[in-house]
Amino acid sequence: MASVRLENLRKEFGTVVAVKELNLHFPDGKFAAILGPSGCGKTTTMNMIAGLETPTRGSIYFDDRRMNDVPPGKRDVGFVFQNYAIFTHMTIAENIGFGLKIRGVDETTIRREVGKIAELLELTDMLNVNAGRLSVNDMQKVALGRSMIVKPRIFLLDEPFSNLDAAFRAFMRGELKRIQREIGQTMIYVTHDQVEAMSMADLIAVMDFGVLQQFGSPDEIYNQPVNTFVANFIGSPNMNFVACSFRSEDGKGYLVQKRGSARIAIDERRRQLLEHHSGNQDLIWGIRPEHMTLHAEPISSDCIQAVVRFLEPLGPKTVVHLRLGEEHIKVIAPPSYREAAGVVQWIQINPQYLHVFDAKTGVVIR
Amino acid sequence: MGGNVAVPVIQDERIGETGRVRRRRFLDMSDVRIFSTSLTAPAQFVLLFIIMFPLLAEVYISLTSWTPTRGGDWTQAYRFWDWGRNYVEVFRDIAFWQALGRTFLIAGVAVALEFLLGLGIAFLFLEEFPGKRIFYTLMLVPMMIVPAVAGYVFWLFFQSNGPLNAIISLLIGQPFTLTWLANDVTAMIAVIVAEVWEWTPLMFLIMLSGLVGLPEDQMRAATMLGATAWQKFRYLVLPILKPIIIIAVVIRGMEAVKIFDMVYLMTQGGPAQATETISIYMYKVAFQQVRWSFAAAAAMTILVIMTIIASYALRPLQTPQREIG
Amino acid sequence: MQKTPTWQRVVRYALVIIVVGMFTFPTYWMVTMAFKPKVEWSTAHGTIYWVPKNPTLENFDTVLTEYRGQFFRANQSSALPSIRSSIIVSIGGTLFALLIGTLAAYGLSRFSVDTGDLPWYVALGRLALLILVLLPFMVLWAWLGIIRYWYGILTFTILGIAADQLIGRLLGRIYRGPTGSLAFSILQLRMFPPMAIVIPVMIMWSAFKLIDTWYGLVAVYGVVTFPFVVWLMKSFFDEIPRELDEAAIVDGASNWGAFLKVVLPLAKGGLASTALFVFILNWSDFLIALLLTTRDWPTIPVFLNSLVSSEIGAQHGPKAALGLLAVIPPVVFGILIQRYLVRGLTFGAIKR
Repeated sequence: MASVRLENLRKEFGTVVAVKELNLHFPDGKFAAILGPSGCGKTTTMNMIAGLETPTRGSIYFDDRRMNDVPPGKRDVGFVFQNYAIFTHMTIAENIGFGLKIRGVDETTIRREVGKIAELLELTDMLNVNAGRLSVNDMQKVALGRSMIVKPRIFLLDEPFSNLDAAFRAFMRGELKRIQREIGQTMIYVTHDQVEAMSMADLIAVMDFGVLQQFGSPDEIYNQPVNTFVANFIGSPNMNFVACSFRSEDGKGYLVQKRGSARIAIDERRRQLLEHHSGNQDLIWGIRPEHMTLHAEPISSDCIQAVVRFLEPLGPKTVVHLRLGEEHIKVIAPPSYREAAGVVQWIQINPQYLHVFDAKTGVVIR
Repeated sequence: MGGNVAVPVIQDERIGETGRVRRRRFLDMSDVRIFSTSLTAPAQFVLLFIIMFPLLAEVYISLTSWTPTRGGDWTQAYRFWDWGRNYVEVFRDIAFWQALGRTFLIAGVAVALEFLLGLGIAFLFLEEFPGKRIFYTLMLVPMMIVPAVAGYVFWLFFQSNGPLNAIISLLIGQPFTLTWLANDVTAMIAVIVAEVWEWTPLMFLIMLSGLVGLPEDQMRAATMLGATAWQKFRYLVLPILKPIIIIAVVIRGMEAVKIFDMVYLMTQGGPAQATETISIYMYKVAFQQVRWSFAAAAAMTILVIMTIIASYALRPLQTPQREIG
Repeated sequence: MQKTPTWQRVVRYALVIIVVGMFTFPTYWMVTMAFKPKVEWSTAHGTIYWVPKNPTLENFDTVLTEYRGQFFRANQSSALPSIRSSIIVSIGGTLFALLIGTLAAYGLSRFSVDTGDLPWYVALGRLALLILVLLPFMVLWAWLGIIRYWYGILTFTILGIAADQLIGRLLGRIYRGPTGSLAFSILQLRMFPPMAIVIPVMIMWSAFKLIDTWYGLVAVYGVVTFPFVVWLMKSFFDEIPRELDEAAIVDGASNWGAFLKVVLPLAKGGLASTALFVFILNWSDFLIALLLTTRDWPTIPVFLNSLVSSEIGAQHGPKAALGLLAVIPPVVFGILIQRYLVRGLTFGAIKR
C-alpha cells in the first residue's frame, strides 16, 4: 500500500502536449478516479504512473520514493488494461498465477493463492477453462485476479468497465468497491463515464486537454464545480447554461438573460461579489435540471417563464425540454408530468444550487 | 427468376475431387454442379495428364529393365519386363539411403538455422532505426535471387582464391586457402550456408510479421507483472507464435528436401558423394549412369516415402489457424 | 513505451548493419564481378579486388553479342536466345498456371467442403489401386503401339479418368472416414521432389517430341506452379464475401457472369500479385529446364551453367553479368509484391 504523488508531471508526444504540469496526490488506501473525455490525457497519466510511458518532465512519487527511473515491472503496480490483455493461450488458472510463476514461486503455493483469488472473484469453477474464449465479463475478473495475486501496492485500472454490458457493469461497480474495501489497496482508475466515477470513487480528478480541472470528492465535484467544463461533464442530463449579464437595481442584484428576458434575483453575498467582478456583463448562470421545479402558475416572484418543447419520459422521472427565450433548457419533472408542447410553464429555481461562471474563462464565481 | 435461384452453396456433397467419396445420384446435373465441376475440371485434367500419366509410365518402366540405350522406344519396355527387381535393388542400394539421410540432414540443419536466424533478425527489426526500409528490402533480396545464380555465386564465394578465404585471411592476418568445396565436411557446410542464405529472409519475413502482430497489451501486462524479457519470450512470444512457427518450419522443410539447383552448381554432389542429395542422386542415376528403370523405381520409392511424411507434416496447415499471422 | 537505452540501440544498429551486410555480400560480389575486367576476376595475381578498379561493360558485351567462332554452348555464341527463351517460357507457364489455377481456386473457395485430412494409407491405397488397374492397359496400349500417338494418349487419359472415378466410388462404399480435399491433395503434390516427377515427364516428352520446345516447357511449368496459384487465389477469393456472388446471381447474372464480372475484377490485385509471384517461380527454375531442353530453348540458368568457352576458360565475369541480368526481373517483381511473398510461399497459410 502506498500513496501516489505527481509533481509537475508533463508528457509531450512530438509537438502534442498530452499532460500539462499535473500535480495530484492520491492518499493511501483510497479509491480514486481520473475522469475526462477521450484524449484528455488520463490514460497517458495512468501509463506514466505504471511506468509504461516516460514523463517528459516532473516526478512521480510512491509514498516518498521517486519512481521515475524504476522500470514498470519493479514498481509493484497492478494494471488492468482496458481490453484486459488476457493471455489467450493459457487457462484461467495460468493467467491468474502468471505473476507468481515468473517470480519463481513453487507450484503448490501458486495453486493455493490462485484458489484464494478465484474464490474472491467467484471463478473457482472455471479455473481450467481456456482463457481464449471467455466472455468480456469473465475476462474482466481474470484481469483483476491476475493483478491482485502479486499484492501490488497500487492498483491501476484503465477504463475497467467500458466493454461490459450494462447489467454486469452495474454489478461490477459494486463488486470492485467491495474488493477494494476488502484488500484495502490504493486503487486508481481511469474512466470517461461520470456515473462510474461518481458511484465508486472516494476522490475524482477531472481532466481536460491534459490539464487537471478539479480534484475532490464526488460531492464536491458535483455540487461545487470549479468551471463550466466540470459542471457540464458531471451529471446526466447535464447542467443548463444560460448566457446572462449582471444588473443592479435598487440595491438588489439580478442576472438578466442575454437571449431572452429571464431575470433571476440573487442574494446579497453574490451581488457584492459580482459588483466587483470586472467581467460582470459577460456571465453564465448554470443550474442542474434536478434543481428546478415546474409550475402552471408563478408560485413566487422569482419564477421565470418558459415554454414546453417536448418531453422525454425516462420512467422514474421525465426530462422536460423547454424554451427559455432563445435558449433551450432541461428540467427534471416527476413521472406523472404530462403537459403538451407549447404550454407555458413557470420555473422555480432553487437558488442554493445556482452557479455563476465567467463566460470568458469559464471559471466559477463564488 | 422464379423460385429456382442457383445459390452456390452445397452442404452434403463433395465436389471437385476425382472420384472421392460422393453420395449422390449418378446423373445429378444441376446448374451449380455443372458450374463447379467445370471450374475444377481443367485442373483435374491437367493433373491427370501431366502427373498421373507420367506416374503410370514411371511405374511401368520401373517394372522393366529398359534403358534408352537399349531396346529403343520406352513403349516397348514390356519386352524387358522383370517385375520388382529394381525395387529390390533400390532397397539394397546404400547410396540411395545415404542420399536420403543426407537430404534430411541438410534440410534439418538448414531449416533450424534459418528459423533461429530469422527470429533473431526479426527481433532486430522490431524497433525503428534510420534507414530501416532500405535494410529491410536488402534483407529480402536473397530469397528473390534465382537459386541457380545463387549456386554459382556461392561456388565463386567458396573457391580457394575466392572472397571468403580472402576475408578469413584478413581476419587472421595470414594467408588462408581452404578448398571448401573439395572437402567432405566443408562442402556440406558450404551447401548449408548457401541454402540458409537464400531462405533465411523468408523465415525473417514470417517471424517479423508474427512479432509485429503480437498483442501489445498482453506484452505490457506481462511487463507490469514484472516479467523479464526472457520470461516474456518464453511464456508469451513463443506460445503465441507457435502456429506460425510450425507452418513456417514445415513448409521450409518440405521445400528444403527438394534441394537440387544449388548443390548441382556448387559441388555436383561431390566431392565423391559427400553432398549428394536425393535429387542429385536420381539425376546421376538417370543421366550419368543412364539406368532409367532403376531411377524410376527410386523415384517411386521417394514418392511413397514423401506421401507418408507429407500427410503428417502438412497437418498443421489444414487446421484453421490462418487468422494468426 | 519506455525508452530503450542508447547503448542498446547502438549495439542493435551495429548488429543490423553486420547481419544485412553478410546477407548482401554474395549479391554484392556478383554485381561487382559483372563489372570487373578479366584480371580482377580472381586472386590468382595475388590481390583481391573488393571493388572493381577499372569497371567495364565488357562482360555484358561478351554474353550479349555474338562473336563469330566463339561458342559458349552447342550452337549458341550469345545469351540472347536463352534470355528470349526464359521470357517466353516463364510468361507462357505463368499464363497456363493462372488459367487452370484461378478456375480451380474459385471452385475450391466457393464449393469445396473440407472433411478433414486423408490418412496416407487411404491416399496411397487409392493410388496403388489405380496404378494396378491402369498398368495392364498401358502395357496393352504400348503393345498395340498407339500410346505414341495423340489418340492413344487421349483414349488412355479418358480411361484413366473413368478408372479414377470408379475406384473413388468403390472406396466410398468401404471407407467412410475423412476424405481430405482437392486443395490439400494439390498441396501434397508440392511435397514431391520435382526430380521424381520430371524423369517420367521427360520420357513422355521425348516420345511426343516436346523436348526442347517452348510449349513443352510451358506445359510442365504450368503444372508445377499451379498449386501456388490455387492456394494464393483461393486465399484472395476467400476474402471476397460470398454474398457478392449471391447478390449478382439474384440480380440475374449466371454463375459464370458472377465469377467473371463480379468476383474476378475484385480479385484483380491478387491476380496480378499471383501472376508476378508465379512468374518469379518459373523464371527461377533450373532443374526442369536442364532436363527438358537441349539446344534451342535453354533458359538463362541452364545457359549460365554451361557458360564455358573452350577458348577463354572459366567465364566468371560474363557469368556474373548474365547472373545479374537474370536476377533483375525477380528482384524487381519480388519487391513489388513484398506483401504477398509470405502468403505465396506458405500457400496462403500465413496472410501478411
